[in-house]
Amino acid sequence: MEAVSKRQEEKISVRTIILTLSILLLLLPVFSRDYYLLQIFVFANIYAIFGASWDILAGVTGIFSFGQALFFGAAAYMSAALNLSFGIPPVLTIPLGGVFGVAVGLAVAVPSLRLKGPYFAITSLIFPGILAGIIYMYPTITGGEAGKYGLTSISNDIVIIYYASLLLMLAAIFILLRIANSNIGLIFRSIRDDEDTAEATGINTTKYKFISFAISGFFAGIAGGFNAHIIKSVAPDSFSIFYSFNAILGASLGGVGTIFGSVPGAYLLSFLGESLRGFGQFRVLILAVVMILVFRYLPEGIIRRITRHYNIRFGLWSGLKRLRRKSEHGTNS
Amino acid sequence: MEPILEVRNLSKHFGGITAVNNFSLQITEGKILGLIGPNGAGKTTLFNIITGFTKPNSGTVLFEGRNITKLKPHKIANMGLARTFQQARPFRRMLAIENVAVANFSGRAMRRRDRGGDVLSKPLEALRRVNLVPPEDNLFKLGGEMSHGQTKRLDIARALVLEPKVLLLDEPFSGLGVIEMTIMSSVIQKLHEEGITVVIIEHKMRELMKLAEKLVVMNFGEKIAEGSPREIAENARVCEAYLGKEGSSLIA
Repeated sequence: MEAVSKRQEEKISVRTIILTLSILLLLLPVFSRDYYLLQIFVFANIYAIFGASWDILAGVTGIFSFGQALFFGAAAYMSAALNLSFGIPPVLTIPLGGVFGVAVGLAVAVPSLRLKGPYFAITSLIFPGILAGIIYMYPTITGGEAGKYGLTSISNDIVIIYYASLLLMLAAIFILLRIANSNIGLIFRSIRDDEDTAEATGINTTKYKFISFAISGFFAGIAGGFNAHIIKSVAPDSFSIFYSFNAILGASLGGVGTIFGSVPGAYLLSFLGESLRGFGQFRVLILAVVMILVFRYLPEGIIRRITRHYNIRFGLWSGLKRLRRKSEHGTNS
Repeated sequence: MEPILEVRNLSKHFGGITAVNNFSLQITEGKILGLIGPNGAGKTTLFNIITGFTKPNSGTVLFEGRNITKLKPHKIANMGLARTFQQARPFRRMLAIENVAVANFSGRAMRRRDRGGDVLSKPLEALRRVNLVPPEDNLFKLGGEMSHGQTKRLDIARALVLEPKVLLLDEPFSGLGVIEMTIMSSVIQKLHEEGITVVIIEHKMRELMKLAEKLVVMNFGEKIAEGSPREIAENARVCEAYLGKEGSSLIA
């Protein structure tokens, strides 16, 4: 089984790449404690989690949504409410925001069962707007257009905030990657590739779509809650299409369906966005041109391009490990 | 003997078109049944109704005596009534072994797998049964990279992991080359010998006549004939509707 042993070596190199990059990021404050620079990294980490949360739903399960900001914004408001009204610390409000994201995710899963493909994608554009509309309706509770201010900061030290965001991002990506490569991830991918075949194979596709929405909502919620505590405020613009597109673009630049791709995608997007600040309103135009160029020349995304170049297979089902072990012992004929 | 699968007075209308019209059929356990008829006769619609993908306007489907008419497709598959589609429908971005292994996580396979059992043994066995393995290289081909003939057999392998009692094959021979047809024939013959009840929709009459013990002819959603391959080939009404004048020449 030559093919198997080849893949075994590949696995090691994926680990090596991820590990090396993680160590470099962990060492960054040793080289620079620049507030502005670290701040960009903090937001990049948040967007990486947010992009990966979109990717598990769209890239892995095949449910394309334009409304990922719904989970982000809903969780941000929930975290803000818990923090401002009950004085609950960020350590709890952020995961609770994630739990609220699960609830919102499950609610959105219902229409997705009837509306397939592009029909759901278009419908999903409206969802964040609906919640933003409700927030405008009750300004006394929600702060209306101005939002709410004065959330507890995670820390006064940017280095600590940096490490918190980095560890959160690494943990989120690690867990999402494990899910994507697990048996559940295998089922998600089967639904993405052909829902009817999956049903005909005895897979309860409805159940697994709910699970995917729940996971996606949780991690998007974590990102939204964390973001709220970084900027120490919430406003209806957390529901803006800008956030949804940020997730989609980050994941797409990195490679849809790779989960890990959201990390380079979000970093690229954040640093590109920052470096173009001097161009004022032309920034979006320049950003769009860069995007078009990237999608033209790297349609499969950064990660897939790299892994293909080094002949690394990404997103392999963990069940195949048994096949490797078998062939090592030479028991496989 | 009680039929393993039975449909009673099924009707299905799409707008003004009647796809299946008061159709009844009994399928005996362990047999190979051929379902033939011109394009648009309602054969695939019948498969879709039996497997829960389409709900009929009236009539019932009974599997092992249980009414399954209103059940969802995955529930029906998990009872041991599996199917393939007319167009081969592999999971295109998944490896062949992954394609088949998905079936391991169906309710039926989960119930039947002994604890600690290898998740790969059944998929590997299924791929061997449909002659996709060996060569072992095939395990690591993406569904989208495989040839049409291979994906047709991949779909059957996936269904086999469910350990089906009844297997519905929608045009298993369509688009296959001569060698591939021989392989497909022997695969279906083997499944039959293992005791699986097989229902085949097919236009390739020569292949079907060799396999099927009984044929049912559909036209305009209705059953127009039922009988042994020889009886069908000599049936004047069937020749007029479908087989053509040389129907009897199909019986070698």
